[in-house]
Amino acid sequence: MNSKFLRRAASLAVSGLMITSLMAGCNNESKNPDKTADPTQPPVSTDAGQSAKKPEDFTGTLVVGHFNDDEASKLVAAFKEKYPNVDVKLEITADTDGAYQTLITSALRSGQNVPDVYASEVAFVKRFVNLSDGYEDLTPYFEGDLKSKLVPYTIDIGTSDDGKIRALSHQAAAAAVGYKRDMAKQYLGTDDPEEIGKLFSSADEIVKTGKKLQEVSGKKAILFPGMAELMRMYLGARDHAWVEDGKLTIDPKMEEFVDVAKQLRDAGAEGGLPAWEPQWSAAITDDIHFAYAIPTWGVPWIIDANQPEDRKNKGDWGLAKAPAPYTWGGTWFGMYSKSPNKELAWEFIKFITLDEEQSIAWAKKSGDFISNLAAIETLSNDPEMVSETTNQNPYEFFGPMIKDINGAIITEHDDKITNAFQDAMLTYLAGNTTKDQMWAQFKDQVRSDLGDKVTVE
Amino acid sequence: MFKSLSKNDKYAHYGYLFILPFFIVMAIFIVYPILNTIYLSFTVWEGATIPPEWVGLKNYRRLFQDFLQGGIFPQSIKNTWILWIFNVIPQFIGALALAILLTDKHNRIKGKEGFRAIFYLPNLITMASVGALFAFLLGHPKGAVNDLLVAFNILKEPFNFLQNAWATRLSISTILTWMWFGYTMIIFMAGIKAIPEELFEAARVDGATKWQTFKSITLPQLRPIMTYQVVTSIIGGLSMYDIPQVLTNGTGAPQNSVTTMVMHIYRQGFTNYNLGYASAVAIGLFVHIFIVVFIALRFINPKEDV
Amino acid sequence: MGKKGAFRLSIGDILLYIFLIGLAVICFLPFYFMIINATHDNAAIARGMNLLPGKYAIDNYLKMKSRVNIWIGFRNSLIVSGVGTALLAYFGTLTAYGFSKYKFVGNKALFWVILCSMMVPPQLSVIGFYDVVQKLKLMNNLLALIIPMIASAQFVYFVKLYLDSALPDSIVESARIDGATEIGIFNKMVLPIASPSIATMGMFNFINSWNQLLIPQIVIRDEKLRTVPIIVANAKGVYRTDFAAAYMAIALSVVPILIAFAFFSKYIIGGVTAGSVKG
Repeated sequence: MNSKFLRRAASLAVSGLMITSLMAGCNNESKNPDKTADPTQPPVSTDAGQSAKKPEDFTGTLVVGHFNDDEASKLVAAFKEKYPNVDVKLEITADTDGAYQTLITSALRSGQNVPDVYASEVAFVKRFVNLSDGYEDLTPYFEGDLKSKLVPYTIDIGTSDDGKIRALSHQAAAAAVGYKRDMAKQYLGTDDPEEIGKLFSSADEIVKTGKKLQEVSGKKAILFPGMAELMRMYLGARDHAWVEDGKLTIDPKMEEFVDVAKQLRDAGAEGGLPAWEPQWSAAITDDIHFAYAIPTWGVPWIIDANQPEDRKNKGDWGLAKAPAPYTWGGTWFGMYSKSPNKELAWEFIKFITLDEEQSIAWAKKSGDFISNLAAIETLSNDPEMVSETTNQNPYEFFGPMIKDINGAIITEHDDKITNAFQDAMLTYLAGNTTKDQMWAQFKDQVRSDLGDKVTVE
Repeated sequence: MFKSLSKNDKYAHYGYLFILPFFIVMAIFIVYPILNTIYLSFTVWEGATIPPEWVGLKNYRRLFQDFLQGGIFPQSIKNTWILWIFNVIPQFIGALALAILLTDKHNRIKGKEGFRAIFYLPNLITMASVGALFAFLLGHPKGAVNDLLVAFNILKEPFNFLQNAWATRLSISTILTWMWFGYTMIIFMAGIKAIPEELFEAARVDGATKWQTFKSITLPQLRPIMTYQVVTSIIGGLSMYDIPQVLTNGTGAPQNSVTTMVMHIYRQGFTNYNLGYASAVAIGLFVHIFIVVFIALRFINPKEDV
Repeated sequence: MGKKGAFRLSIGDILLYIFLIGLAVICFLPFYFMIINATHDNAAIARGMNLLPGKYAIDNYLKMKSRVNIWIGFRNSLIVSGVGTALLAYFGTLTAYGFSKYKFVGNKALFWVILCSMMVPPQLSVIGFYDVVQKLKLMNNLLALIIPMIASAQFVYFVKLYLDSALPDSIVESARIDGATEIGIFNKMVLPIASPSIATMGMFNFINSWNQLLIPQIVIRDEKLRTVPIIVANAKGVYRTDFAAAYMAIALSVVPILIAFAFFSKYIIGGVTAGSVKG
């Protein structure tokens, strides 16, 4: 045997294996993104207070920065249909390891190459909103009270600490409990959203339900796939933010959560699967894990995305009310404070948020839950909006609770503090620390991360 | 014969000329950023539009305090060393043994080229992909490794690898060894191939055993390569970042047991936007690495220079 | 041991083979899993370890393709890593030769400067690097990725080491006596002699630069200039649920490196055609 042959064979084998694997399957499925036709001439129903300029009159180039290609390209396409003479350049950088944030921060620092409009996710929007020279104050651009036009908590989040509105969101990421109807019928006797909602209405009820599922199913059915599901719900139920008056504040609800989480884990009612990992995604389709924290975008992106084709849109999921209305996720848009294209930038932001026509069209096309209050009202009565996955109209379901979501409890340090909390909790739930140690570890981490901005006692 | 290449070498200026392009590029793209980091270490800065604010030694004082109080910085030093030691020792021993095996003309192992190629494969994948792959394999309660262990009845229940400090550490060290031993082996093979054949012949004629040959010929002759490998391994090991970062999603879980020094720097700098403090930690790390390399060099090369 | 027959293997040999082959399998296994996973759908991937190829290869490829264009990535990465490594091979060796054979004042000190530059972790240098690239107006330009590749301290260190033992002063001397220019000596004599070390370090450098993510991500904004790691990072989708597409991207991204490796492998030290170094 020639050693040179072996070496060649090694490399060829790998490449060959790949090629044969590629040819091993002949799955001719193709995915067609649906494209609904927009009305040919949308009426000029823009927000009041602007000059009588028509969309076609706007010209120039707009640079839009985003981290989500799917969302961004569709939004830009919709914008370009209405504003045909505006050239839009889209710059996408995924936020892996915070690369998008670093990019925008670096650009802001140097004052060059900053997109005219750039997006922020809820995890870091507050930081950019509070950054001087980050997002421009939008007050001069609109008239009236935005909170009567857009879901209020989204305005709160987009408001900087000095009270100026700087970023708006085209979505409202209200969230609830998503549950599997089959398992509900089998183990709890009903799949009615109202009834299920009662089972999640308080800490005691939740623990009771978790234990009941285990009993009735012979230890098979697990209430939540992971700890984060209930955590998100509790975060929304707080009255106090993580940081108040510069001090780390632990809302009593979070203390309650720690106990509930431990009870659930010990009773076998929580599966220990980290969110977004393959196993967590796969648990969507199994008959073991019962309920997920599902925000408005969760129906297409958590449930639908993880179901095989033959299980999609069968109405086998339901949405029930969580103990308190909470929010998870969302994307905000603002304009660069030194952008030379502020007029155009405002048109874009206005279009995706305040334009009722666009909001309705966007909701139907993308499955997103929009933040335009008038549109929400209209859609909650629109039978077309009943989701095939849940057999419920999300606008009808979320509409009433959306104004109750508390946007004031979101701070710019939330992401870090919640992560520190989660880390400490995971170790505690695994049984490796006591509750006191858990709190100590949490505080130490927050102190290390934010020590000079937040006092930790 | 060497007189013409002495200190008064009339060709010396060519030396400057030849190294110039490298130094120009290095000065612009490497030295300037380093000087920038040093400057930042004396400031408080959030990395954005407000310029850095000079605070003198405040960051270094905080670093020192953290060090004394047993905070995350000394913990990260300990973690980095643990991860490195448990990786470098098996890696060097294994790589050296394999290098000797695969360069020895007198054993009858066939397919040496093939083995060398295959052993290097792990070095080709990005650290991020490797981290993601192993996070998947070590999953709890379901993951490939756990599934295997339970199926073969080695364990009754799946083991929560990533919630156990030492399991996580040893897993990372093992992954690192797996990734780098092929590379190290090739470097050693380069060094062994450079040893004149006559020395080995002479040893065989004198009837030396394999171990004696190794100790008296191979090892001393390998000194320059070994120095190179030790230095680069120290630097790489103490700057370890990618694998533990991806495996634990940046958290260093559980309980910061695998937070390395660079992870700490990254977290302070890019997650918490304490760029001044992060820079101070980075300079602290540099000093640490420098001292270790210096000691190592003195140990391996007591008289010669690098 | 020591039997003369070509077909007689001792127990020691057999054990050795078992060990070597076992090790080879361990090295290859994760590649195997990656490739296998790239041919399955998300549900199968999450279910656990799959041992045989699935039927979703084409499907995953199309999914990945609809989200990212990996072929542009190949082109860009090839340009960056290829040109960068070539430049490094020339100027890096030139530098190594300069340090090795020319006894100029500050030789040792400057070499220590190079070593020290390796000791500062690169993560924070990103900030200064960004500023430099901006000032040089090289933002969004592949040159910003190529030019810095010349300054690889590791390359220079290794090649210098190699030249110290492989290139006797006498050769240089006699070439000078023959009337060769300094740069001529370098081009015609030093480069060929150093080629095994250049190939070895060049290959490492090529692969390393191919896998770089941090710097390209902040410097490259234009979709058409993305390198492979950026594309792989984007392939998972923002909601990070499309593991199948991600595996397909990763699996594909490894192929060019494998090809480069197979190519370079011949020339690196210890390779079949490269002569071993005279002491």
